[in-house]
Amino acid sequence: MVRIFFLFLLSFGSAFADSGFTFETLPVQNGGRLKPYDTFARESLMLLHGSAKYKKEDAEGESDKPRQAANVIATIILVPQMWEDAPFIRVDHLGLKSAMDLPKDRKYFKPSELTRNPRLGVLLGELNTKRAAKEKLNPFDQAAQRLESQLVLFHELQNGGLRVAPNTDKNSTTWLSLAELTDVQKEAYFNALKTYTTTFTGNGEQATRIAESNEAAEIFALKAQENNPEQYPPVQQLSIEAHYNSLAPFQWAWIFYATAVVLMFLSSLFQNRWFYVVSWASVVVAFAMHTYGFALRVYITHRPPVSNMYETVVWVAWGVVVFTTIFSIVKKKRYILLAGAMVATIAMIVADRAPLILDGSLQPLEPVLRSNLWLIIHVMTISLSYAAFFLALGISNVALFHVVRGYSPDSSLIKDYVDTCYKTLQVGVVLLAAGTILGGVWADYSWGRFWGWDPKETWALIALLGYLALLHGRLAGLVKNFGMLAGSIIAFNLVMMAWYGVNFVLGAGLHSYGFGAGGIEYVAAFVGLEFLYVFFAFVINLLRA
Amino acid sequence: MTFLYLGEVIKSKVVKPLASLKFAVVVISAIAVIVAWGTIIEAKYLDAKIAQETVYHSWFAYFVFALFATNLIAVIVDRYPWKNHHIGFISAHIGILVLLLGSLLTRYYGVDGSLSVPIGGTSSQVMVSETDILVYTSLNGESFRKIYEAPANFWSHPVSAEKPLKIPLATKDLLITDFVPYALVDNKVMESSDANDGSALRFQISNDRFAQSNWLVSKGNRSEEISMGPARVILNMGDYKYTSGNALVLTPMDAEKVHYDVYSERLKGKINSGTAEAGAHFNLGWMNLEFRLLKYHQHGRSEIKFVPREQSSPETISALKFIYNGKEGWIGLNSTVRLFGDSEMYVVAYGNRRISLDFDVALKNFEVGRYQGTMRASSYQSVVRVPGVDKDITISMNQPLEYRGFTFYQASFQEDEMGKPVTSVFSVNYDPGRWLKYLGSILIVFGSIHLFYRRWKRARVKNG
Repeated sequence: MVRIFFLFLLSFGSAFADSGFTFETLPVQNGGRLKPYDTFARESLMLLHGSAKYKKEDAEGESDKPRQAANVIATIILVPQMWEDAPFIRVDHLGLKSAMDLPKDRKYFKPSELTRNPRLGVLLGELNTKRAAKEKLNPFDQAAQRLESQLVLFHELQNGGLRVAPNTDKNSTTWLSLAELTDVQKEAYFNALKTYTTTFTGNGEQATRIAESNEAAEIFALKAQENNPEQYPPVQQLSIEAHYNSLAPFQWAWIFYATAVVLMFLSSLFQNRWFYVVSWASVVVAFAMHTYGFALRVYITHRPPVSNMYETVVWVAWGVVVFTTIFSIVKKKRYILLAGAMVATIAMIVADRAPLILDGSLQPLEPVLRSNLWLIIHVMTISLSYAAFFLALGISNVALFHVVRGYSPDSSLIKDYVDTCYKTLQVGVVLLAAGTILGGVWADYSWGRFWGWDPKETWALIALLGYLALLHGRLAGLVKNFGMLAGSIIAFNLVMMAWYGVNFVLGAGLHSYGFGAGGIEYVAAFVGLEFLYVFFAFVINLLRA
Repeated sequence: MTFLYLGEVIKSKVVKPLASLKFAVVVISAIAVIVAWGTIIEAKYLDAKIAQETVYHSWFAYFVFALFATNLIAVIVDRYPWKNHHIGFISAHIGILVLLLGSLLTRYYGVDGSLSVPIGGTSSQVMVSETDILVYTSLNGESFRKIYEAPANFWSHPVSAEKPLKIPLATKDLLITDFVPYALVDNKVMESSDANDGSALRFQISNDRFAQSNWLVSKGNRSEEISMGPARVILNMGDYKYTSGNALVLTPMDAEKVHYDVYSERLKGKINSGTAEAGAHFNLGWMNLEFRLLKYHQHGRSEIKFVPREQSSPETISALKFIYNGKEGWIGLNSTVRLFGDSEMYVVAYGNRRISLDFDVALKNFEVGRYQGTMRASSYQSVVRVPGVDKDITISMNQPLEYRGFTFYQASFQEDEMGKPVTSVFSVNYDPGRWLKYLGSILIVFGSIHLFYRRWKRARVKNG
């Protein structure tokens, strides 16, 4: 059944045109798994340059056409000396720049000026001392660590450190690097690399050059495979990943969600039903892309895609659309689609446009996260509850907009919003309670502790208590209509803390595999704007009364 | 009649206010604030224990949880006599009570510790997070008698120079005057003028992929050795005899020089020998390793210092400052100190409590799977034997062993300097409250779904 599903997916996938370069699908062993060269190049350029593409800028700030990662990395391997003096390594941390005496107004630096920096040795020495003492790294150390990995990667690319062929020793799973290949294999690789790079710059007909490049790549693949055919993956497997990279399904998803939001605005502006119908069509396309992207990630990694921040953001957005559909069918109200499409757009843009904060690369799992049914169920349940709360936040935002426009919180329009909001919160509370408990079941099953006051689980509990207080307050009559709308927006901060804050701000506890850094200013801006908005609506409503 | 009346009064004057929704909202909010504070404390010190001791298991947290339980009991009593439509409501609220009760049982009667077993060895000692102070005494220096044993919880019972913990010994008191929760152990080796002290040397072993430096300090003039993966380095004070394996034997000669002999397992004997002084280096002949003698004292002594840190790290331990007989000293977690009274000797031990299982766990084998081409562990598993089970048992991540009421989970492992695993660490657990927690969980989830479903349905009937 699953097989048939994936076969269907593959046929669907091949309908989209791929770049068609065999070289880009050649396997590279890196970061604990085999990935197509294309993925390796994208991740490498992201680390080195902080971007998926590279634009060469000259002194006047004039820039070339942006070049793809696969192309850039190939030329680094082929002619490393050309890149020694190219200012393309991104360093952001101001403290690190001043510690290294680098100009603060520059973003990009030459590898040569970084490696020859007289203070680099001392900095990395201090970093090592800290790592040896197993102390927690502060943002400065993390920036130094990032610079270290950038320089190590550049050095590896320069010196043929790319692992491209299985080990001839059948017992070793460590692949051989370019430098360790036989002369015949080396020649074949560099031939493939050269013909590949000339497809971007060379003369002659493009189609012939691509065919030539593909043939050279296939010749190398055959020679590399000879080392140990069992460890060489079938072409199909890695081309799916290359397809995932080039299609960027999540980008299409947010574009179509955003289109739906615009159409919904037009719908309410012109009071035209057709805009609503077309808006739904746009959401359906977006949701199909969203789901397809998910399916591809599951196929590539052989695991459910909920193991890091990036993946949960994408999953929550997916949940929002599911709840939007269900509530739209049950309540038959248009504003639900507007609210749902709005928050789904925000979540998907955040996931897609902030690669330095939310790492979307496909990473192997920590041992404790592997092959565990409970883990999958508990994370998916908790994230789905976040989706319900997120949708409630969207609905409350739309409702407050009407309050600002002049509707009384006791009007039937606002009452209906409050009712939908309340029900959405109920769904969220049941899912969060169940998910938190399932987290306990997982913890008990995995390390014998049902509840250990770990910050991640504790904050999930705090969010649950916050929403429970809101729902009980409503029952007690303490919370009126406006209070429900304001409460569902403010209580979402608890979800933000449990979801983002524990991993990115507190940075303590057992869920360390999801830790990250950055983005706090954006999150703070979002929280601040929401508070201001609630306060503004409150004052307007108060003055009117 | 009076009973009925009394019941009514209790219901209206006691149960009603305790069961009120407003009270519930206040209590729920208070719990949220308290536990949020706990997570901030944990993040500040990077230590789960301090948050547990000072927040989650503090008297005020327990007080608020007690109010919470009172509120829950009151609402359940308040709804009496119960009707069918109360099923969801009662189930969800009783579920929370059952869950809390289960947690209490676990807290007071459960065991949650760790068991380290060396590969090829056995162990029955489970270490738990509680700490104790023990004092033993001896008159002749041979037979020891325990004279003091008490839990050492300095989070809830802080000590200071003004308010020390007094431990009465024969003639004078032992005073614990300070508690440093996070200290780095700084082991300084210094030249000693006492000719009774043994030798001390610091060396480095390295090749192009690996470098490691260590001290070897002879205690009480006895030989000392250190195992570094496939080889051992021995400081020979005259009583060492080579038998087998790769070994480097260093024998002090005078104030400047040591004599060295290199033995090889593969070549079955001595492959190199000579003399070296501080700064000298030579090739060891195994794995392209080079030996460098960094420092050498013919007579040396190690002094342990505790450097307080702001935060916890895997390298920090807690330490106690004590005063006895007018002299100050420090004692680190899981170590002992000798004190001398007028005619008697004391051994003071400060460490994690150990619980002895009444059976041994033997570790036959341990395997680590790595992600291809890296040293990142992808999985690890232990093969163990326990008495009465006549076959090998595999314990791995997510595949625990249940045996005589205890559950053994694969928690982590320890490696030697070469990255070879040497010890497997299990988390050991006995949980009498488990079934209550599961029962409570089921009741909560079932109850809240039932509760919300019924409200939705009722709202529909009303509207439609």
